[in-house]
This record gives sequence, structure tokens and C-alpha cells, in this order.
Amino acid sequence: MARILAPILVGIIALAVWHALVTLNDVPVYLVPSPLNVAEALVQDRALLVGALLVTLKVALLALALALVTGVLIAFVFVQSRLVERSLLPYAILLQVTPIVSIAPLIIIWAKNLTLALVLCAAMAALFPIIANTTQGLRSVDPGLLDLFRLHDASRWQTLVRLRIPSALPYFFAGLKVSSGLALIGTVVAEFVAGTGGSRSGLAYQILMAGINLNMPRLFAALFVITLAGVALYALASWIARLSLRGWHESEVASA
Amino acid sequence: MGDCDRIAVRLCGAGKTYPDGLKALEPIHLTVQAGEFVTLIGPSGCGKSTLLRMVAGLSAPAGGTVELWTTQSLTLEREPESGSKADTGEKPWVPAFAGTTEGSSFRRMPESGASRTAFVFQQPTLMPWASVARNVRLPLDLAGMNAGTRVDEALDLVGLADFANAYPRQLSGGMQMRVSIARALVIEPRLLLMDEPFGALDEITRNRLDHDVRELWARHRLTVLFVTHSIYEAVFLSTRVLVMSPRPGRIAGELRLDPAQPRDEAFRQSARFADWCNRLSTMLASAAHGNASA
Ligand SMILES: Nc1ncnc2c1ncn2[C@@H]1O[C@H](COP(=O)(O)OP(=O)(O)O)[C@@H](O)[C@H]1O
Ligand SMILES: [Mg+2]
Repeated sequence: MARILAPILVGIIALAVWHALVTLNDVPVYLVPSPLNVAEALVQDRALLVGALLVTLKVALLALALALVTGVLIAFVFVQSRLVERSLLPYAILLQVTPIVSIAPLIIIWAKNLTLALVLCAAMAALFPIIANTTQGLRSVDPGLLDLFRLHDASRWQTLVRLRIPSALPYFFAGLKVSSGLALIGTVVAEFVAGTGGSRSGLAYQILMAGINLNMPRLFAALFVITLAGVALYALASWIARLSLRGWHESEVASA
Repeated sequence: MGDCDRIAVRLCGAGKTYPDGLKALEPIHLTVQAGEFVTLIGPSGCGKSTLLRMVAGLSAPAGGTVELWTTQSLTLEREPESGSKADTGEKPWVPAFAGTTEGSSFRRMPESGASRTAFVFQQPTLMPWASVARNVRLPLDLAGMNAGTRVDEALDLVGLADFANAYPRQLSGGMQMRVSIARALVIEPRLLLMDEPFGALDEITRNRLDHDVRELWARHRLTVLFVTHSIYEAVFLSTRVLVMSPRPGRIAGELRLDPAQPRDEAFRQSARFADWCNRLSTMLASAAHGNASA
């Protein structure tokens, strides 16, 4: 109970303090809106914001799916041999440490379709945790079980399907949880880079426009919606993980 | 049929040096007859697990040979333990699984080419994502064999018939070990290798499982190669105990124990049990000393 109540209480206190500071100091709305202004904007602009949210979510989910498929495939390639992993891992890391903002312009220029460009940028941001976690998972198989499979003449394929993949699932889901957030961040960053000349639809576009028009309540409302979407994506990933691991994996058993 | 037909395992000069240069085992010469219950005992790190893994084919010997007679050609001529059993020497390794009738599909198993060597590890080594039943049937699945009623029968044998749908984490350590044993029995093994299977369990559970293993051995006329560092366990279970020296391991002594001696709770209290334990203890001490002075 305290696990849910405590953070809610902190949130309410923070909002109250925010509200008090803004009203007591007579801060103009175009600088810092009060929580009430933001709530008002949320209600008034809901059609606009929900439309923008759907556009952004679509890109983020497509990117996450792309990152999942590619990341898992790359992980499977990595575990085929240490040599392959050693040769390719530096490039995967390179991809990870390159700021998405810096390559987004290139991708947006190269890709003909803007949605495709955004998806590619976001997928790139979400890719690495899937690769790293799935690779580690596929490798961290109970050596005793590996012996057992060898003893019973299991084929490579049987060992993969019956042993390596199930062993890797908890790691894979840990990666999925991280990547779900990264996919959204990547999407928003790419939308920012695409700017006002681009899609005219996503949440980042709404933030940019609201900023230009000094419509702070709407800007804050859009920010709030992004945050909410991030939390929702994470919750979705956790829920899928719990559903798949329920009953056998400690990380989910303990919290159930 | 000659004497050779009854050999289950033969090691001729099979030694082991690990790639890092560590000499774990001196060349070992060892012959295990079908139907024997042989226990390896020795200090930690003397190479018992290494030896067992070589026999299982999980670790290649550095020189020498390891031979197994665990294919269908093996026939067992040992006398039945109790007069009530109708089995005769003609029958090749009839599975005496409880409730299994004549003509059971067990006997087809050798033709399928499935491995007939089972290994029970120190840890239960179960797949946490699979139910007890699916864990037990794994060896059959891997060999592409139809499980039929074998899983239920194997679980019945270890007293876990009611837990087929449970998950490993729902079971106690002792029960998990039973699942592990059921998984070994489900292929109706010719050769059962057990590496300190009950080392992690409390003594009460261990004694009970020792009793069960001994019963299974007698009922199914298994050939068992068992590893322990418990003198009591070795004496309670075995028809022959091999005493190993500290690393690099070699077989420093052998104690043959009357196979006709019933192994029950009364035996644990008997003077004979104490006597055998003392003799084994002395042999272990001199094996350790012999190596130190060498
Ligand atoms: N894979 C391995 N690589 C290198 N050394 C090993 C390996 N496995 C076991 N050893 C070493 O070989 C020796 C014998 O090990 P083991 O057979 O496990 O002994 P025991 O089962 O009698 O305790 C030990 O000193 C151990 O450290
Ligand atoms: Mg050992």
C-alpha cells in the first residue's frame, strides 16, 4: 500500500508547492503556468494532444518492434561464436554511444519517408539494450543443464529452443523494459530534429509550436502527455514480462 | 555368454589433465560389472566429478580409454534380489517400473538409439520454466520418443505422482532432487551416475533418499556409480567402495561390502555398519597420508 501511496503523496505535495510558488509570486502564465493552467490546457487541447500522442506512439511502437527483431537477430549471431561477437560488438557500442540528435538529420535527409526516418532513429536508440541483454541471456545458461542436454545428445537446435531461449527470456525482458523508454525518447528527439518543417503532427511538434507561441500551458500539457506515454510503455513491457515469466522466474515471483 | 558381457564400464588408463595444466586424475584402471553399486569416496578436489564426467562422455580423457556397455547387447544375468520376482536371466533388462506390465514399450527404447546413461548432478538442475512433468520427460523429448505413461511411472517411483504439474520452485530441495532422479529413471538407464546427489540436503532427507536409491537399484538392477564424501552414505549404499587419494586422484583402495546384507534402518544401527565405517575411515586416512608422504 505504501508503495503506491507514498509516491502519490509526494506528487500531490510537489504540485501544491508549485501552485503556491506560482500564485504567491505572481509569475506570469507565459513563463511558468500553474498546475491548474496545465490541467485546463489538457482538457481544452485534448483532441490536439491525443492526435499528436497517437502519431508519436505509433512511431515509438514501430521503432520498438524494429529494435526487438533486429536486436534479437543480432544477439543470435553474437552467440554463434566469440569471434563474431568480438568483431561486431564495438560497432554495436559505437551505435549506442552516438547521440541520436547527431545522426537524426542525416537519416532524415537520406530516408525519403519521414515516418520511416523517425522510426529508424528511434529504433537505433532502443537497439542496444536488446542486443546486450539478449546476448547475455543466451550465454548465461545453467552449465549443469547444458551438460544434461549434451548427455542426451541434444542437437544445437534443441539446445537453442529448449534451453537457451527460455534461459534468455528474463534478460530479454529486462532489455525490453529499458528499450521501451528509449524508443519513446528517440522518437521525440527525432521529431524535434525534423522540426516544424517536418511532420506537423507529433508531440515534439506541439511542444515546438507551443514554445514559439509562448503557449506555456499547452507546452507543459504536451510534456505531461509524453511522460505519461513513457510510463505507459514501461508498464506495458513490464506487464508482458510478468505474463511470460509468471510462475517460474524469481524476479516476477517475488513481486507477484 | 562370457564374463565380458557383464561389464558395464571399463576405464583403461583414463586420466585427466585440464587445459590449464592441472593434473586432476592419474590414469585410472577400473572395471564396473553390470548390477554393481560402486561408490567413489575421497577428499574434495581429488577428481571424483572428473571421473564421473569422463564416464558420462562429458569430458574427454587425456589418454586411455573409457568404454561403456550400455547398449542393448548388454544382458543381465544377476540373480533376482527376492525369490518372488519371476524375472530370469534371459530377459534383457526388463524395466521393473511399478505397474508396468509385460510387453511394455520400455523395451523398444534401445532401438531408438537413445542414450541409456543417466546422470544425477549435485544440484537438481531442473528447468525452472518447465513443470515437474516436463522436466522429467526432457530426455524422452530430446530423443524424439513418445513419453506414454513413463513420466507418471517415474514420478510414482520417487513418490511425486501428485506434483506432476508443480513448478520446481514450489518444491523443497529434497523433492527437487527426487524430480532429478525421476528424470534419470525415465529413460530406464543402464548406467546411473550420481555425483554427490544429496550433499546439499539435511541428514534426515539424505538418509531417506539413500534408502530410496538403494531400493531402486535393487528393484531395477541398475548399475550405479555414485560419488560421495560421506563414509556413512558409502557404506549404506554400496556393494563396492573405491577410496581415492588426494589430487591427482587415483584409486588408492577398495572395500567390498557384502551385497546380501539388507540395507535398512536396522543396518545403520548394527555393529557391522560401524565396523565397515571404521575400515573405510582407516582406508581414507591412509590414502590421504600415503599421498602426502609420496
Ligand atoms: N573444467 C576445469 N578446468 C580446470 N580445472 C578443473 C576443472 N574441473 C575441475 N578442475 C579441477 O580438477 C580437480 C578435481 O576436480 P573435481 O573432479 O571436481 O573434484 P571432486 O569432484 O573430487 O571434488 C580440482 O582441483 C578442480 O579444481
Ligand atoms: Mg565433485
